[in-house]
Amino acid sequence: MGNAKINRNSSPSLMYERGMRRVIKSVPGFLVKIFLNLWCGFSLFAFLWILIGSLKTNRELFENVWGFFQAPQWSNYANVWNNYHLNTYFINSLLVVLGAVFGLIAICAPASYVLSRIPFKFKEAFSRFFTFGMGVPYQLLLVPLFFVLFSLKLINSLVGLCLVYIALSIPFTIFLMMGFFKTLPSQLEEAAYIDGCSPIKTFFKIMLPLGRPALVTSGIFNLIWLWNEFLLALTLLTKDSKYTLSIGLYSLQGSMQYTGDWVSLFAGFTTVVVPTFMVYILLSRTIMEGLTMGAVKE
Amino acid sequence: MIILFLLPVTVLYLFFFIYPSIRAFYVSLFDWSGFSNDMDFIGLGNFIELFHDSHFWSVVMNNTFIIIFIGGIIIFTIAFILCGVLTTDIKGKKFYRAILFFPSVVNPVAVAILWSFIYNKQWGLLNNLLRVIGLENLEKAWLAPDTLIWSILVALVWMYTGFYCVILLAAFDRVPQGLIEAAQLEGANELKIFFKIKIPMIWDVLTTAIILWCINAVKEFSLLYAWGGGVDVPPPGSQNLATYMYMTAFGRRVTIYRMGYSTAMGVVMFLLIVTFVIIVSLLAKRETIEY
Repeated sequence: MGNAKINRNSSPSLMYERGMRRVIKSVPGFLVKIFLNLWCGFSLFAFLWILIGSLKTNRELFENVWGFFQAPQWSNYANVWNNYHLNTYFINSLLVVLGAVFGLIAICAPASYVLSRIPFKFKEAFSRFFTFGMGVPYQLLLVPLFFVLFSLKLINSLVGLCLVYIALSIPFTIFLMMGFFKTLPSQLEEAAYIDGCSPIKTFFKIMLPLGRPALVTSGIFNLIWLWNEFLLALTLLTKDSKYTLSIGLYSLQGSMQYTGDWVSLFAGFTTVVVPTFMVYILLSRTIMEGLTMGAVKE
Repeated sequence: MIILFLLPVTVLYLFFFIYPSIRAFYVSLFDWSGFSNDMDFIGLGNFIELFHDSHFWSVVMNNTFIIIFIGGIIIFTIAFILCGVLTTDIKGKKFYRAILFFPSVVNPVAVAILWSFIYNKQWGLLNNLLRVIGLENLEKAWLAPDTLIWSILVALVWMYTGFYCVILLAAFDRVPQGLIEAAQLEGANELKIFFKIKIPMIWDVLTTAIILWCINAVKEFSLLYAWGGGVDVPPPGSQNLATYMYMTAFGRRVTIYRMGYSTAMGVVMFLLIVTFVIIVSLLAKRETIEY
């Protein structure tokens, strides 16, 4: 049998056939590689093009969309920041999003610790109650939420929006944190108990520091989705001094269509995307790992 | 202590999530303009009206379904193809992965703006490119009603493909190399390895990803709204269920605010998502092969 194999390998016609097969096999691979490079190249180019565009004059843009700027026009940024109030929107966004993320972590971490590790009556029901919310599209809540906030006089209020953001992020955050706390070893708690730690102390001194990866991951995910959130902000904020960046950018787009001041819109785009980009560069490993944690149950 | 730890979260959740959820189903049974106290109970009247609303059907059929089915097929096909390269020992994997994924974390309004620069009729990149390579006759107003939904679809595909690609990549990484080598020794070709080993082994993740896509595609709002969903009379093909729902209740220039009718659409959206999840889970009932 060994002989037969050697013969097969050395037969010239078969070797030729194999070579052909390899070539045919590698052609799709080659094409796919080109496709991948085109795809990523396009994304890179698009963002760079906007960055460069934001420093052009409108004339330069219309005359040659592919060209580079002659002198960087920082005034485009000053224009959108001051005249189109992007500075206000930026601060609003920052306040709402950071407030919501810290609030969320502060209330969800203790709750998910209790739900995942302390035995008590109705524990299972409680966990279900919280994770049930993940299946409800938040659009369904749009009208009732508007009137809840309306009766609380929290329409056009950043505090109101922040509370809504926290409430709507609770299911996912608790789900993620519970999953993490469940994996921690129970010996640590037992040791703490023997040493005379109260449950509250155990939580703050031991479990919370250990749970840091889960807190960071859920923090980043909420940070990104809330920074980009559009629909709820659009519904619950109608006064333009309260706008967040998403709506600010949307209204900017509306007015630029009439003024034709496109380069300022490029600058507005950059203002919104750069913070995301920085968070992404700093934390992309955590983001990918968190994503994997959620999707791929190990 | 248990109560102390659970109280704040429970109160907020009950008040701003559970109560509005229940209230939504209640409101959908009324004819209600919002700021007046007279809510007319009309039972399933809103749903019956929806059933006869031709705009609603065009919105659900043309857009929601175009986005979910056609968009989903394109996104997952491309994601699989890209995974094919990214699971080989190509250089700079992390770099590619990071660039692929980035569009899905960018603000969707910004994505809408980016693509409106590309599609712009006079100076947009696409028309400019066509001019440069001598295909002037293909120049178009890409955001005009007749092509709008396809332009939106292209932007959505660009935005989300990387996201699903990264999820699938994580799953593919889990497939043990030994199994693939064994199959290669047995003489299985790439296609056979792909369909008989890799796919069955990532089945659970693939199902989750498809369900996730269905849910997100039904809810997709920002991109469509930013492109003409917000004008007085939205051109056909620029709306989906989510934007039509928003316009009915809160549209800035709408004369009658119809809260009940809008919420009924929300209920339909919820049912649509539940249906998708059930269908996909039933179709995917196959067990993931454990190794």
